[in-house]
Amino acid sequence: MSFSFDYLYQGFVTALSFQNLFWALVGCFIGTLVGVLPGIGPASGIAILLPLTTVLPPTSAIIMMAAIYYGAMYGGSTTAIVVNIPGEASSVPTAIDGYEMAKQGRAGPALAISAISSFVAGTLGLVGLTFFAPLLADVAVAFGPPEYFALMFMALTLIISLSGRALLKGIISMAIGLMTALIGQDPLTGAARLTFGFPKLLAGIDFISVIVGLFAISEVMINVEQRVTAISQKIGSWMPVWADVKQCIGAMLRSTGVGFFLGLLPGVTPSVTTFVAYDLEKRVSKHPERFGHGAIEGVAAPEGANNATSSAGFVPLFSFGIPTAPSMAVLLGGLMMYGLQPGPMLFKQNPEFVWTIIASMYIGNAMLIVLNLPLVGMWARICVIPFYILGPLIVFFSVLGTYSIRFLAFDVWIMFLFGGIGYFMRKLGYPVAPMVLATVIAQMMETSLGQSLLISQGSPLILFTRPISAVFMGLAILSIGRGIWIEARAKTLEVAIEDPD
Amino acid sequence: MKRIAVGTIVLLATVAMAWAGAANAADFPHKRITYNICFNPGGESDITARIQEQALKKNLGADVVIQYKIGGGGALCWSELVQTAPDGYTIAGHNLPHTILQPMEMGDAGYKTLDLKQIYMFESTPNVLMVRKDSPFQTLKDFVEYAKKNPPGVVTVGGSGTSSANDLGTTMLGKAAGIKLTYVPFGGTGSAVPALLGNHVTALMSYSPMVVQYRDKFRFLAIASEKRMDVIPDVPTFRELGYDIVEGAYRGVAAPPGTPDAIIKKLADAFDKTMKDPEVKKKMDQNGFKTEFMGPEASLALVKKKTVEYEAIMKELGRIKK
Amino acid sequence: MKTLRPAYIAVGCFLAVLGLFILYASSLIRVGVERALSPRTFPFTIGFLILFCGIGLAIKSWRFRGEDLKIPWPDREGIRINLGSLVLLAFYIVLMKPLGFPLSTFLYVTCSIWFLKPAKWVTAIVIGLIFGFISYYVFIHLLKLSFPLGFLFEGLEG
Repeated sequence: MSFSFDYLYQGFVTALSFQNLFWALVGCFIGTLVGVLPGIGPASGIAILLPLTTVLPPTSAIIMMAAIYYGAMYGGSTTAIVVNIPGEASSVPTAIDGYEMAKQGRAGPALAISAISSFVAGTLGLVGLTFFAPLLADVAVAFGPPEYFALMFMALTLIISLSGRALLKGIISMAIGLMTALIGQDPLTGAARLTFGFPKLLAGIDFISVIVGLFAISEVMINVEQRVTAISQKIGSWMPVWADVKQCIGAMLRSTGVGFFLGLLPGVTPSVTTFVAYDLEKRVSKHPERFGHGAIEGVAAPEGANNATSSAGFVPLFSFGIPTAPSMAVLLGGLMMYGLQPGPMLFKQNPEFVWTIIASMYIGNAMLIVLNLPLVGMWARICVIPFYILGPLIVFFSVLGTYSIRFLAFDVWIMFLFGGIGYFMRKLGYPVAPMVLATVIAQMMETSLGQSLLISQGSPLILFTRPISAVFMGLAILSIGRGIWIEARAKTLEVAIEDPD
Repeated sequence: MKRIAVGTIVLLATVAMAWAGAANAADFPHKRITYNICFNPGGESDITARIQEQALKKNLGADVVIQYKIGGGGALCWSELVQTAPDGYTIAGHNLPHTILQPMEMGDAGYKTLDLKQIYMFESTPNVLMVRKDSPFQTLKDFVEYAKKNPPGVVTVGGSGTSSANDLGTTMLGKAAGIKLTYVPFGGTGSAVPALLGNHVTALMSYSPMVVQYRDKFRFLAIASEKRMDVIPDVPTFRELGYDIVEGAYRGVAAPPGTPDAIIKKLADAFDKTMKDPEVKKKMDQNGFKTEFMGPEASLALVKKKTVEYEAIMKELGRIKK
Repeated sequence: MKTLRPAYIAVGCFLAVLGLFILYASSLIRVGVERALSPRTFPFTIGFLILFCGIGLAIKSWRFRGEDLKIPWPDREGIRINLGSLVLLAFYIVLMKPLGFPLSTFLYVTCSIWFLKPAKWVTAIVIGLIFGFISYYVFIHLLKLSFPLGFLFEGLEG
């Protein structure tokens, strides 16, 4: 799939047809709605609408499905900021600072920056896709199991080392997250772990229930017991000031880079890249203590990474026909229904098809920002709704979303349980972020390690002898070293029991 | 006041549950049917279901909703199926050899092979051994020789899942050729393919649809079917090359144990008509699937036959205790 | 426990026990075929990690002699409201299957709003009805998601 202005131009012409514009709009809209509901992610959204797309020509259908995919990114961040319900794991870092901003009456600027950052990153990502796809695709497949493990390991160490002086608490949080992720079947052998003979536990604990519980439910509990009148008493201006935006430019660019490159790798979902981008931003910031208390870059970074990753996800799809995420896979399934053969040849043989879709993605990104910016005011208003109404509704959405993951009441009970756990973690000052990240990447980490050891005949040295993984492992070890160093020094200052964020 | 309310609720609930529980075969189906897929979207099971969907709805005369219950390599979905009400409104895709091997190897997979009541078996995808186009192996013979010359286990073969057809196929090849191959399990075909593209594994033992998709990136050394497939006629069979290996995944649908036979028959007929629908047949062939047409009795017979076969093979290969 | 120090010591001990428990549960894992990475490895590692972190936390907090911070527990009224809300939520989840999603949503939303602000019971009923309806119409009817219908709606989705 190589670039050509001619193709791109043709692509735009087709994408700008009334029909395709309409379907792109529908997709954006549905995607946003889907993203707003926790649990119903883009994969389910696309899967549900797949039958409807049979009446559409393939191009329009794909345009709509792609629009749903990145539209969902927007929706997820909206609820994360406004009511502290991360729609997906990828919205979690956004919730951390975004919700704080909402409490300070700055939900408007948070939402707006989220939209702007998403647009910038998404578009830049598309540019990367347009011009560099073949090159990038090769980068993507250079990552094998050892590289994946090294990458995941590094992401994990990044986040605990960012617990600052409360390293121990960060590690505990991460360890509990890892333990939760362990329950169920071993990804490599299928052996039952920590299930004590309960077949329901074989599937493990879904991390959406954990996240919704930790964030939404515990927040409701805390608000309710303090008889909070509303999330924020007044709303400041709906739009951010120019100074805010300027502050975030760096964040937007950096997160685009991180999100895009990591997003190229099949299996690396936005959930991981948003955390890495957030961490990176915190590290390079001159005032890292602001993060967690409403730092606007803390919203711009994950949002940018989110969309950059979505754009990057199309590279392996268009170059090799490999879906990088379940939602992409559903898209592929949809293609097959039309009699189109997925795989690298699809796009080689139908370049007009690919370029129309890419063109439509540029348009889609623009559409989303046009759709969402005006709505910022409306969404921000939600924060002012009296909590005695909003609280139960938040719980309703949480239950709805959690149940819709697998239609099992079990998942809702997990949400309930982690609501309690989250509540206590907050009372006792434990950071939640490491737990979430651990839950999300644990399986991939273990699978990659297992595969790597099989390839290397049992030698862990494979992680260090291959250039890419060696780099990541090195970074990881540096992170750990730095973390221990800070913690050790902290001992002499006797700040062992301090609020971490 | 409160007690009357509670009492009424309890009474209504009881009536409701009684009403819902009665499975009436005569007017089946009168509401929508849930078709559970046990693997990731985009995989072979999913694609097949999508191809079948429209025709199935027509032939059943009811709405069909596709849902995903992913986990444990399928074990989650099947263990849940055996606990669902046997009224015919919930069915699940099921795979051989997974449903045979999992209870065998895992001790407690949450279900037993014969608990799954067979409705229909509609396709099979034989195993295919593939390497990159730029690899030094031109034929299966080259591959085997290379494996013999090198220390055991150095040659890695990726595939989808554990206790799956890919897994078993690799072990069978190793045994038949007298070489030791290291099988590297991946979460699905979707994650195994990049591993080969990136040269992280020596070869892949995957399914026939992949041949259709990756024709220009991979070289296909052999296919584990009885004779060559029409859609990919230049791939030789293992048998032709001297190794008696016929293996792959069979896919079908199953219902919870205790589902009335009359309902099973209706479902089976609908699937039969669906698979014989020309549109469906065309898409299946195009995508590298081999269609099968096995009703409930034939499917059950296949399962039993394969169980005996696999038990012997697994013992011989040392994967389960004798 | 009103302050952090004793709380942390307690948490530390709890974690240590949890770690031991995980180690025990891990030893029960069936190891089938010999593979490079045993299914027991990760659980054992995590078990040990939690065990040591727990012990470390307990010891560190014990030895801490600095300023102890109060835990922001809620007051009496807060506890009542909190527990009440949790009980309502528990009922919601339990009743979801038998009563169906729309009905239990209506009940939950209405009762919760009423519980949080008894004066506004009209609002409670209205909003409860709205969301009960939405949960039926949008999610079950339009999107065809398999939420439990309960006896009232069983016949509708034919």
